[in-house]
Amino acid sequence: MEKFDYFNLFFLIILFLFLFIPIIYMLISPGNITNAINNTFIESFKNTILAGIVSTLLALFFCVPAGYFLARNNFKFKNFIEGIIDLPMAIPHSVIGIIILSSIYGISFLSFTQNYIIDNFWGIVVVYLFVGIPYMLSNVKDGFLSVDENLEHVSRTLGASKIKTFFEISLPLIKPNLISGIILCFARGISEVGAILIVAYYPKTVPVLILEEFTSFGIDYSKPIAVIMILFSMILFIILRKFGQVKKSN
Amino acid sequence: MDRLKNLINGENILKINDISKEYNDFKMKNVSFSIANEYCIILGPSGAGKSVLINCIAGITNVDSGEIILNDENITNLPPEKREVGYVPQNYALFPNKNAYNNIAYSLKIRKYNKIEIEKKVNNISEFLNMSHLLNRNITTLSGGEQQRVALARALILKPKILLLDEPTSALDINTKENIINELRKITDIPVLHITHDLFECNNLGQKIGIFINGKLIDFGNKDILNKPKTVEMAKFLGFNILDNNRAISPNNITILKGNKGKIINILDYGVYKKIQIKYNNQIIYVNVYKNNNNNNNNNEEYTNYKINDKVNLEFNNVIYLDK
Repeated sequence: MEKFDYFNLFFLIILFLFLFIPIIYMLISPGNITNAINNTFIESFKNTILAGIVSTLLALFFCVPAGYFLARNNFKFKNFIEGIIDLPMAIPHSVIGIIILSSIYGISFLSFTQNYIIDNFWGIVVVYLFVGIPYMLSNVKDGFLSVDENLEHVSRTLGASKIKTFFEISLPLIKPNLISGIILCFARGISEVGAILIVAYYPKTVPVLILEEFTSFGIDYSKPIAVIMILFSMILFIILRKFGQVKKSN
Repeated sequence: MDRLKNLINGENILKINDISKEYNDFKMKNVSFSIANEYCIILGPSGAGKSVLINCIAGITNVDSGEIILNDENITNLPPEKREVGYVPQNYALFPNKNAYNNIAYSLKIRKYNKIEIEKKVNNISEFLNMSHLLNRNITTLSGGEQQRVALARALILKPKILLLDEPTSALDINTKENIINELRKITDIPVLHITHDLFECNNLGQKIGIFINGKLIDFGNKDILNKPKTVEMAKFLGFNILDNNRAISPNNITILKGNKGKIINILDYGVYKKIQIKYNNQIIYVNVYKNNNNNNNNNEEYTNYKINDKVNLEFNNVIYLDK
């Protein structure tokens, strides 16, 4: 290694410690975890995970065809559409909550959804989708962009229809992107608080519960729940990474 | 024999009737030709739009106008999967998620052939192309020549009506290229349309030759067309010296004489021949000088004697008059 490499390594170490020390501190002093695992926690944990799974599957279902279309076609308003879909990444979380809530109250043909969304499980799913879709779509689209179109052309000259080619060649080749899309979409969803507080405070999700415990009883009560969430996220992350050997760039 | 029979009968298997395609800044205009069961080379410089032509025949790109007839069937508007053409793109496009065997067996699996039939056909085609030892290999571990063999086997396994090859040897070293050319020579029972920028391939394989420059098919015929360029751009591409706007001469048809009208400015030695660059009448003229006297010009006697800065005269034999 030359001097310049040591110089760069120094910055890497600072960055790593900045993230690692707080996490490891939490894990080695989690507080009273057994007390934290009560019915309220289990209920909110179930809500969080279930809403995460449902929204991720829905995002996957919609983003695979949409991402393929974006990757393979150029059209007039493509940039505009991509920009709008990416926008939730840049909007503050509470603003997203306000956007969803005001649309449900303001747009007449959406008003029937009020009963299903406000303070409802499906409200959590909608919020998770709103914030997770950009991650899923960009991963899926990037995946399809990286698949050489010639592979599809050859597959078709060999007798496979467009749909058959999609399922036989293109889709299997973007498995790593699908996995990273799933991880990011799920993780982004279950970490959401701001928009959830506005759209669906109930049924409670874990991040909402942590916030509530913190504001009502202080850090000692919220810390054990937070530790469980960290452990859960870590396990999930490791499993999915193993599954798809997620590319580092993702 | 099949090919010979068809040649005698003059049966046209592929007919391209006046096809045109505009594609961003590129224009392919009014291309027409037809080939029987023979090996056809479409020769042209890189970026001439040769791939667009082959993509139109494979059905990957739709033509704007004109029609494509294959074995008496109008395939102009058929999707690629219904055209029964074998297609090998320049980068071979082997499926990275399948090994060599499964790449080759792909079209059979799509058509739901049974396992025994698949195995038999894959083994046959692999033997034909000398690649049986590669079948279990992961395609990422194959060399360029090996990948090309797998791609050819995959394209040929179902005996397509025509084989379309897009610059099949452009990424290969010279030895591998020669081996692949030997394999390609063996394909005699179906017509082959092979596009390339390489005169070597053209000379070795082409029974019919088309010259394709800037989206236009400038000439089409047998090998003779290589000796009789029609336009300035075709003459330039074929390595002819352009004397003025309507005259060209092959570097093989110039004799170097003693004199002082011209001066040798460079000599490139290709082993069997030397390419001599001569400044003559304010123009750079290329002359090929062969080691063995099997050519039109008589320069071989002095094969080793030419030196840079020598003064010479030139004699032009067989000047070609170009179309304006």
